[in-house]
Amino acid sequence: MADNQIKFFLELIRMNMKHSYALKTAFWLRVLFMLISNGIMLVGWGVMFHQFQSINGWTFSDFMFMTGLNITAFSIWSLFFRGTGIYMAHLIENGGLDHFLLTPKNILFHISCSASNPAGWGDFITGFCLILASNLFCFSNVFLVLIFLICSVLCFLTIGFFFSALNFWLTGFSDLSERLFYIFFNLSGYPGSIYSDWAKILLLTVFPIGFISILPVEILKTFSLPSFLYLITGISFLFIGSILFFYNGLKRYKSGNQVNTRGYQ
Amino acid sequence: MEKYAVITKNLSKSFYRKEHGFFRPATETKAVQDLSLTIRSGECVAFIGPNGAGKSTTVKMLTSILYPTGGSALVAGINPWENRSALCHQIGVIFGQRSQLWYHLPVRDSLHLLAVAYNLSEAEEKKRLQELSESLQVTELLDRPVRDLSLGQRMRCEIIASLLHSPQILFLDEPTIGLDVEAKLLLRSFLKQESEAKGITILLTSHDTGDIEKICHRVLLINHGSLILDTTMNRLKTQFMSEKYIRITHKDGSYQRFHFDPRTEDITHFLKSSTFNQVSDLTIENPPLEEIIRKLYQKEVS
Repeated sequence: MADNQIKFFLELIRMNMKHSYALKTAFWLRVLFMLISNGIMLVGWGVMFHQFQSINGWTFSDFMFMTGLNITAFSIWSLFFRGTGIYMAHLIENGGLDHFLLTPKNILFHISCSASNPAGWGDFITGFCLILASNLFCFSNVFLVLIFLICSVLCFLTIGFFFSALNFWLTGFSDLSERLFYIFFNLSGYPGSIYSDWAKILLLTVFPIGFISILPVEILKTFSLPSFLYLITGISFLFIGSILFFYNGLKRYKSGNQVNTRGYQ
Repeated sequence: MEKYAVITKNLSKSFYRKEHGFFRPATETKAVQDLSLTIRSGECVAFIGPNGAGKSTTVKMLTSILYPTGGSALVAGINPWENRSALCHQIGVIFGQRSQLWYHLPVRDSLHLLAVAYNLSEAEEKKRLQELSESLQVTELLDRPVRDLSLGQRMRCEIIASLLHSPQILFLDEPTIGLDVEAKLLLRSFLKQESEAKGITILLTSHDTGDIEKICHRVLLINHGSLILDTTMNRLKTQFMSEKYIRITHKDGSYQRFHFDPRTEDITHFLKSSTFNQVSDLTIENPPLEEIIRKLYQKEVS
């Protein structure tokens, strides 16, 4: 059965890619403008690091690695799991889960893989280049970086599941879900060194963006097994918690009667 | 032993809404109340009732979309809320207002994704797709993007999407909504033929009496979430409205239409008392189903 699930999800992702490339001009323009947008952001941070050299011990290279990890993870979420977040929130709010409930596959991942944003390719290219360009990256720690990347994607999924599922309880919350999701994303783009100890505790527990913006860089700079295990167990715990939260909310699903077709970009 | 496609026992569903502030108790709306019914395998049943009667809510509970607040149900021998995945292989659902097709992609791609979802082999997918697309006359549409299809064409493709995995039970919620006369006729005759040839059970909710009359043998009337009437289509036509319609056509082409109740009026007396000149034809008809259902709804409301 598991291989059937995997086959289905691979097919779903293929459909998503095909769907986003159906409008070719829009596809390439979105990729291009995302690259431009990221370039502008990096120029801003580059000017700042040129002036101050380091921010509480973080150099531009550390920042590049963190931003690269953050943007690459976000791009993977954006390309393959864009169904979480605003899309899922709107489906729940507008009673649009019917079709997903009527398909004999895991509903949570079916929705998650049912939308894709082509602009994610622009993020992916930027993020990947930043990781490669950072001094923290070397071929001996490729495996570690891959683990960080998976954890960061899981972190985005956790936040997406959680904020989307809130719509089972709070009607009219979908737009706020989107804003909260992007607040978390934006917060994960600042150097971890700017936060106080109290803020770090919060960011490594209830607001888990520290799993993207604090721990990976610190572990790469000075490897610490407890920190590494905390990263793995912490994000696994939150991820499973968000899935349970979603399924608990699903019992409150109300359905609806809006006219719609599938496909969201 | 008789096989049942659907069995419900005291099935209930309430919706709760906070209308008077977050900390005050929510207002309860009972959409379905203690609904108990059985549908035998292979039966074609119309599930009718005025707007807001609880038809769609019941269908959504039986298809595992909604969790009930009380009671139990078995669909194809499966508890819908405990084994959703197994149920999905046994049922097909068509919501007239919803689509399971991808907007920018050719129909064939969406259908292939569904074939993968239902674990169909390549040969099974090809055979079933050919069979259904020929019956519904959409073979030439399969390679067109969904956005380029008319509503009627899209609905025919939706039916293929719902029947691709050869379900045993079909739930149809307003399947002909927005279709033209020809598309409606095609869909109705196709569904009837599928049901008769393959023994598929059909549970239809529709406000179109043509759908009900052409597809179903049994009628369940629901209102305020409760079952009001459970009868056959023939009994509905004869028992629940005794009035007859008489149409008299004159030789000059004009006609007159009368209705009378044979239980209270004598037809010979009625005809003798009327004055007709140069009658070319006379027909006695039952009232249309629409009229019967309208009267039943009125009776329910009053």
